[in-house]
Parts: sequence; C-alpha cells; structure tokens
Amino acid sequence: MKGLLIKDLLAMKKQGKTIIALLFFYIIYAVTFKNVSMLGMVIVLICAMMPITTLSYDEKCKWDSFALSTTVSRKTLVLSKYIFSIILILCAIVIVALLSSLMVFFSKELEIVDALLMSAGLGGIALVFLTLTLPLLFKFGVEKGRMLMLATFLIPSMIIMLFSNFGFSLPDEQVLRHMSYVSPIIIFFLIFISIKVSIKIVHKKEF
Amino acid sequence: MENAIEISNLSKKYDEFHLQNINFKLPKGSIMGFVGENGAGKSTTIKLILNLINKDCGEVNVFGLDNIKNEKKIKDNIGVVFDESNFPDNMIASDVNLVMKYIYCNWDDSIFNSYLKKFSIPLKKTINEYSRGMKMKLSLAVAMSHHAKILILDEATSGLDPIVRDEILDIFLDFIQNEDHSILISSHIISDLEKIADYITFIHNGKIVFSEAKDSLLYDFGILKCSNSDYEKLDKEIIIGCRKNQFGVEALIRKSNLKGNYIIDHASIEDIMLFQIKGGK
Repeated sequence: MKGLLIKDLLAMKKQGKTIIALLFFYIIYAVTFKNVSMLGMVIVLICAMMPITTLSYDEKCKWDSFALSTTVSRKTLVLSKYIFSIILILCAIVIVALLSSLMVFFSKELEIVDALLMSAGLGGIALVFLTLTLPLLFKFGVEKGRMLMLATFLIPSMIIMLFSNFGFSLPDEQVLRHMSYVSPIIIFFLIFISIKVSIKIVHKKEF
Repeated sequence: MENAIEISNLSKKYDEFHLQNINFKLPKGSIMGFVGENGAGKSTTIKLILNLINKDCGEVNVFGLDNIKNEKKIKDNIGVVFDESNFPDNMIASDVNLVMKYIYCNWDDSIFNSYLKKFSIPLKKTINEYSRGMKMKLSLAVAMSHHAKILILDEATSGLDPIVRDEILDIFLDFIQNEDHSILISSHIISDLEKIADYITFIHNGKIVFSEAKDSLLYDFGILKCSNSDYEKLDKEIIIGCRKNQFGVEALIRKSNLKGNYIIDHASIEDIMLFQIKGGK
C-alpha cells in the first residue's frame, strides 16, 4: 500500500511546477478581484483530477499488471487509489480553508465561517465526484472513462435544469441546510459503496 | 526432482483464441525456454501463472502451492519482467527503489544498487530518457533484488541488440548458479534460448507441441536429406514435417524412428519449430 502511494506521489512530481504556477496565478487573481471561490474551486478541481492523471500514467506504462505480478493484491490496488484521492482532497480542503479565511480576514468579502463552509462544501463535491468516477475509470480505462466522467457531471445538472424548467422549484434554503448536516454521512456511505463496486470490477478485470 | 512450476490441464478461452490443456513442468534449478510465434499463447500462459487473468480450468502450482490460494506467498518469491519498463517514465532509479522497498518485504537496497552499478544504469536520468536496453536492465534489477527464487520473463530480450542480449543471458546464467533458482523465459528469439535453456516448451495455436529437455530434443530430432524418389519410399508416419525443393527433400524426423543408412543433419530448435509449423508432408 505504502509503495503504491509513494509511486503515485512520485508520478505527480512532473506536474508539481505547473500546479504551483497555476496556483500562484489564481492567488493573484483572487487577491486582485477579491474573489476566493474561484481559487477554491481550482484547487479542489486540481486535486480531484490528480487521481485520474496518475491512473493514466499507470495505464501508459502498464503498471497495474506489473504491480499485480508482485505482492500487491487487487484490493490493495483499488484501495490505494481511493486513499490517495481522499488524502489529496482533504489536503485541498485544508489549503482552501486556510487561504480563503486568510483572504476573507482582510477583504471582509465573506464571514470566515462561510468561507470555511465553502471549502468543506467544495471538498464534499470533489468526494462525490470521486465516488462516481473511480469505478468508471477502473471499469473502462482512462480514455473511455474520461468521456463517461463528463456524462456523470452533465446528466445530473441537465436533470436539475429540466426539473426547474417544468416548474419544479428547487428546495428552499432550510431544506438545503438540513441536507448539508447529513451530507458527511451520505458521502461516507457513497465512498463505501464506491470502493465495494470498484473492488468487484477490478476482481473481474483481466490484465 | 522438485518442480518450481507445474501446470496441468490449464485452459482459457477467448472469442478468437483458445489456450487448451496446457501441461508442463519447470524443474527447480533449471531454465525453461517458452517458445512459439506471436499470438501462440505464451503471454496468456504467463499471465495465468501470475493470476493476472482468470483461468477457465486447470491448475497451476508454484513451489508446490496453488497459485491463487497462496498468491502473496508465491509472489514474494517471484521476479517478473515484462517486455517493457512498467514504471511511470518520469521516475529515476532511486524512485523505483523507494517504491519497491514497500512492495516486496524481502527487498534489498544494496543488491538493487549493486545491480544498477553493474548494469551501468544512469542514476540521474528519468526512465523516459533510457534506451530500451537500459529499461530492460532496470526491470531485471527490480526482479532480482528481493531474493526471488523464480524469474518469469515475458519477451524480455526482444528488441534488444545482440550485445545487450548476451549480457542479459549471462545474468540469467549467473542467477541459476543457485540450485534453488529457476527461470521461465518466453521469447521468439530462439537462438538465445538455445544458448541457455535446459528445457524447451513449444506452444503453437494455444496448444503445447512439446515440452522436453533441450539436449534430448537436439539428440532426438534430425533433418533427413534425400532425393524425391527416396522420400516417396519412406513411411510417412515418421515424417514430422518436410520441405521440398528441386534438389530433393529435407524432412524433420526423430532419429530413433528411422532405420537404414541416410544422411541426417543436426536439427536446431529453430528447425524443429519451423518444420512442425510450416512443413507439409
């Protein structure tokens, strides 16, 4: 497990510089335009995309079949990706929370509590996204998986748009607030199911 | 003699390819060359041994243990080399060391570093700057740095120049000095295998044609050279394959089957393979 996580970290090395440059750019953007949410979104997006990037590296060098020829089990292979992604997203939440509260402290753009809530919310969305994409990527590989991933984004938002077009009103703030309290439990549950599904997929997969 | 790998009645069916009833034994302390054309089923068999794909039926025993039930224990003692480097290509050699250290519990830094030195693998270059030979040597170094008892190599020498191939063959001969060690090497470069293998297993269209000691193959088989008219008089049962041209006939036979005075040439493993696949009667 540790070996796999280290491998993913090392494989990301190449992108380190690009990411830092990108972050720098968005920090300047956030400071000049007094808009933290953009920065938050970018950071979370980068961290959520990372596992996909490492998966595409793995695919390119056929790492999986090699890893499975060593002592790595299929289950470990799957779990390591989840752990890697969750760690990244948690890091993203912490970074966004720190940066945004720092900025908000000076700019008074939002209440600090709201800034923190926003970071947690973004992280939550990234986690939900992860629970949908990882099984797809394990099943279909990175190329096809990427397309399907877009679909997992598009379809729910289209459904919501359709609903609002037909006159269904969106739930009011009170309901949303209540939902946000239970969301950690829902996310936990989703991650659990997603891991189970991915393990099943990889067990059947032929390398 | 104990067997390092023992395969019995192994089968796997795909839509367009059927690996049927594979049986062979790799005795401990020896090198087995696994030969066959592209697509004959070599890689499929190796993947089945490593449990990378699911078998339909049959059994694979490694060190006398079932390869699925005792997967982890077995794999801790196997070193595997595929036909390319399997590490993300922005890694350097020390990154590989760091990763593998946590994957094999018997990983030995000092052995790995000594191999890097021996193979003169550049320490600062990333893998994508390596030549093909270097990549192969890196993979070999990885496969041999955790005190593995069996090396499994799938087309590890193909695409390499003769000098590097020769170096690698020497490494194998070195490895096999320990009586507990065994090697299964698949290749279509038969001359390489003829140099080092103790056993040759020949697979064709998903079926094993023969699996025998190399020396007995070389001793048993011969190429009969005779005129067309002489050839017609022969019992066709004993002809394994033949090639006709305007000067006469060359036919692959088992020497013990042929009685009488004939000119029989030495048959190389390559001849044996080619006559079996392409030769008519």
